[in-house]
Amino acid sequence: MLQQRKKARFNLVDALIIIFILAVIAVAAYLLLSVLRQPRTVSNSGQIEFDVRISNVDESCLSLIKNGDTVKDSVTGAVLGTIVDVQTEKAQYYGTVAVEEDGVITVPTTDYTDKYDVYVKITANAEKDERGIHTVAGTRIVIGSTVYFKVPSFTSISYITEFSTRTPG
Amino acid sequence: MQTKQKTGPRFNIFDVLIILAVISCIAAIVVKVFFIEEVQADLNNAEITFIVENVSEGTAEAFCVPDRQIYLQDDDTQIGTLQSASYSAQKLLVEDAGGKLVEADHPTKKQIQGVASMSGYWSEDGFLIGGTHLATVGSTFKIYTKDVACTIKIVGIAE
Repeated sequence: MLQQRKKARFNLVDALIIIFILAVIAVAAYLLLSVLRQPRTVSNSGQIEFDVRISNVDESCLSLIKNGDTVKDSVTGAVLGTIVDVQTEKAQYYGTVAVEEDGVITVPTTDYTDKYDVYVKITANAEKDERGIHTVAGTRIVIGSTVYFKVPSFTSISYITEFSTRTPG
Repeated sequence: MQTKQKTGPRFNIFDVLIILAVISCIAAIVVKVFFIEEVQADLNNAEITFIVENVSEGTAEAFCVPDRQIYLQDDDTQIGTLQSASYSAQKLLVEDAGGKLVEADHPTKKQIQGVASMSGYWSEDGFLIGGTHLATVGSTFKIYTKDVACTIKIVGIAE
C-alpha cells in the first residue's frame, strides 16, 4: 500500500484572501500618504538671536551658565546655539497677604536672597518656513516657546522672551 | 490496491473570519474618509472669545497684533485668525489683614483677552474647530502665532 503525501495546494480562497489583504494595505498606504501633512517649505534664514529666561536658579548654579557654552535641547540632544550673553536678576517672591496703600490693594514682593532669574542670549542658525516662523533644530522660535535648556553642567526648562534676526554682515 | 482520495480546496470557518475582518477594515476606512470629507465641506465660522493668563508684559504686547494666523502647537494646524486682543493686569486673590479674600493686581503678570475667528463644525457636543478639535467654554488649547506661543482658555463661543 502506497501512502500518498498530501501536498498543500494553493486554492482560490487563498488567492482571494491575499488579494483582499493587498487591497487593504494599498488603501491604507494611500490614505496615510494623502492625509499626512505636507511638510512646510523651509529656507535657511541665517543667524537668529533669542533670549530665554530660566526662573529661580540657585545662586550656586549661576557659574554653570557661561558665555561661549553650547546649548542643547535636553530632550532631543540637538544643538540649539551658543551663549553670547548672560544676565541675572534676583527672583521675586509674591506675598499672599495684601497690602493697602492709599486705598489701593497691592501684592507685596520680596527678592529671594539665593535664587535668580537668568536671561540667556543664544545665537544660532535658523530656518524659516513659508509663514515666516523661525525654527532652530525643530524648536519654534516665538515668544513663550519652551526651550529644554542644557549646557554641559546644567539643565532646566526655559522660555523664550525675545528674538531677533540678524542679517549677515 | 490503491485508493485515491480527492482533496479539493476546502472553505472553512477561519477563511470566513479573515475575509469578514478584511471587509470590515475596508468599510471602516471608507466610512471615515467620506465622513471627514463631508465635515470639511460644511465648515462654518465662529467667533471664539478667549483669555490667556499669567503672561509677561512682553508676551502680552507681542500677542496683541490683529490678523495673525493661529495654529495648534500639537499638529501645526491653522485653526483661525486673531481679530482683536488687549491685555490688563492679571488679577490675584489674596488675603487682606483681616483674613478676607480680596482681588489685587499681580505686580508683573498680565492677562490677555482676545477674540478669534475660527472655522469649524457645530455638533451636539459643541463646536469642532477644524471639524476635529472640540471647543467648549472652559477648554484650553496650546496655540502659537508668528510671534507668540501660549495657552488660550475659551470663555465664549458665538456663531
